[in-house]
Amino acid sequence: MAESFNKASFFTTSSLKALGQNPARTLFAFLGISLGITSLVFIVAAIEGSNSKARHIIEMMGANTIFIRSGFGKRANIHHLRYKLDITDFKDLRRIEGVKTAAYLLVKMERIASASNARESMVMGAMSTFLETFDYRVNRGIAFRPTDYRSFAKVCIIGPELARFFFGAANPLGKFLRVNRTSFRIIGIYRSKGRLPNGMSLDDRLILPIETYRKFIEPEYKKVLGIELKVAPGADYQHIVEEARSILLRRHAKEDFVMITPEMVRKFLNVFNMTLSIYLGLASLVALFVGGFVLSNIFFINVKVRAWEIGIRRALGANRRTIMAQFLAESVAIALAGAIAGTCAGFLSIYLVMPMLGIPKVYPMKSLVIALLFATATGLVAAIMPAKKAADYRPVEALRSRL
Amino acid sequence: MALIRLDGIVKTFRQGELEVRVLKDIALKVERGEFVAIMGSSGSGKSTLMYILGCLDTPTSGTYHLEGMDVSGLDDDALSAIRNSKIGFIFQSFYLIPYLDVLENVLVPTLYNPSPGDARGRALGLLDEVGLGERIGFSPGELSGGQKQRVAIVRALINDPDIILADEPTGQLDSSSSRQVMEILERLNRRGKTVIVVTHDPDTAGYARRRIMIEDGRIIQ
Ligand SMILES: Nc1ncnc2c1ncn2[C@@H]1O[C@H](COP(=O)(O)OP(=O)(O)OP(=O)(O)O)[C@@H](O)[C@H]1O
Ligand SMILES: [Mg+2]
Repeated sequence: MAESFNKASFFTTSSLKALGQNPARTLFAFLGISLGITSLVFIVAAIEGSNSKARHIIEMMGANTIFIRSGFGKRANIHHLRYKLDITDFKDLRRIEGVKTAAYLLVKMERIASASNARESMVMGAMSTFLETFDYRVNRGIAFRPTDYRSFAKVCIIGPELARFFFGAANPLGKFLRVNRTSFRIIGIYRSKGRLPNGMSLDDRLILPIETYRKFIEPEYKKVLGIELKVAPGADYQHIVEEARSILLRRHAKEDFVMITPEMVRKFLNVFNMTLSIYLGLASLVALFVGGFVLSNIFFINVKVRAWEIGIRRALGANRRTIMAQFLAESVAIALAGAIAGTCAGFLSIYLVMPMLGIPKVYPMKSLVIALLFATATGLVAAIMPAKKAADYRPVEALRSRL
Repeated sequence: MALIRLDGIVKTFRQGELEVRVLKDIALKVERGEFVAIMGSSGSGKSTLMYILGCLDTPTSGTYHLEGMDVSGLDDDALSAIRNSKIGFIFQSFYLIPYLDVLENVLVPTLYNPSPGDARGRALGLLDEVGLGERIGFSPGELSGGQKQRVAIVRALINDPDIILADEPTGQLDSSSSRQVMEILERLNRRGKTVIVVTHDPDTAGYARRRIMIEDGRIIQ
């Protein structure tokens, strides 16, 4: 056992020393492979990253959710959005069989102020089902009570970021925040929801009961930004999507709304993924191919220059297989070094480029495995012909090749 | 039973249209423990004969019995195994692998040996014996011709072969290095190795106890 281990390590060191013999050639081959692996690692991360983005979005929506966002009209402006959906739409949609809960949503950017501080933030009007369907969980204080909705109570629930901004470490519960000229008492703070993949915070919102919102924030408003339906377990999701669409089309002259389902998000991201994979996959295949081609040519030169070495190794008892194994091992050694360097370079490019593409940065360890596999395969394929040529040398002629 | 027995060995090379008959009906017997010099002028076929004796090349026709076994029809794997275990080659131009150090060069044949045993220990002992115990980490480029040839001898011995085949082992050496090398071969022969030396140098041939003359592909004496 110890013997064969010694032999393996000698075999390895002698392969590495052979590569050190001609650093320039080795470096060329190494760079070729590294480049291919870099782009390969990048793709794997891009796919992984946009998949996790999709999962994240779907998780946030909930798999049984249908979200309908209103169109904005032509001259849209963040402060005066002309929503096309209204309360009647909502009431119609709520009656579809198989819809478990329905919620609609009004939002507006407003100046929020305490006694000493102020900032612009999003104010949302929430129906009683809202906190559940959008997964806003109050973890300090309490959620809205049924009476809060009926009595236009001037109470609010705020996000942890807003709480920190206005009150720092102090307890915000029972304190007041002003929107326009109305003061709202803080009764609850929802658990941090983090950020959307695009960096937008979900923790800086001020939520009011819907009736309160309509009375104090947008009194004349019958329009809604979005309607959310939750499909009951066991109901035909696709059928409900179709029905919702046809109900809306009956009231609206044209399709001035957007229906968003987790399926659509998934599909969109899949298409995005596929496009990305095709382009980058092609790029990395070309790079690997070029790297392999360089490697192959370098090994043809290698084998030719070292013909007499093959001759003496044959004289010392190497058979055709061991000669092949030697050159394949040298090639794979370069390729593996290229794989490791390429993986590092790939991770670096993920760090630098992914933010520009809006894809979350991930550094999947499986890309190292993929890199090692692809590099090994490239190394083997590239060296197979030169190695075979080396094995095919007639020993005597190989020996005579040294002058 | 002779260690080596050649009968009717013919070797032809094809050069385009032309067939060159380099060895013509060679018959030769070498007993175990002999020290033989093969002599002859340049181009007479000495190296070609030695390659066939070393199973590095196969004859065009004729039979070769090594230790009583007919090896003329063996395949490459079997011939490689024979070279590895039974034959040690020494060449005029040393053929040390430039990127390996002295010890590694000596160990190369053990890579192809299925049961190399304590190869390192043997290598160190043998290198010591030929006066290179202090040079194990040197690269071949840092050695003199005589030292290189001694490394090559140790490499030939590492798998403990029965037969040492040396093709002009002193061809690139000065007279004192030549003497050193030949004395080592003589010592090995006394210890029971069968040594066959190809040379056209009479001094080198003088170490052998039997001399064979080859001329134009035939043994003439
Ligand atoms: N592969 C080959 N193809 C054609 N001719 C060859 C080949 N190998 C050897 N020869 C020829 O065979 C003849 C004998 O060659 P060999 O090397 O055996 O001679 P030698 O006696 O060892 O000569 P030297 O003393 O110069 O080494 C030469 O004429 C040589 O040109
Ligand atoms: Mg010769």
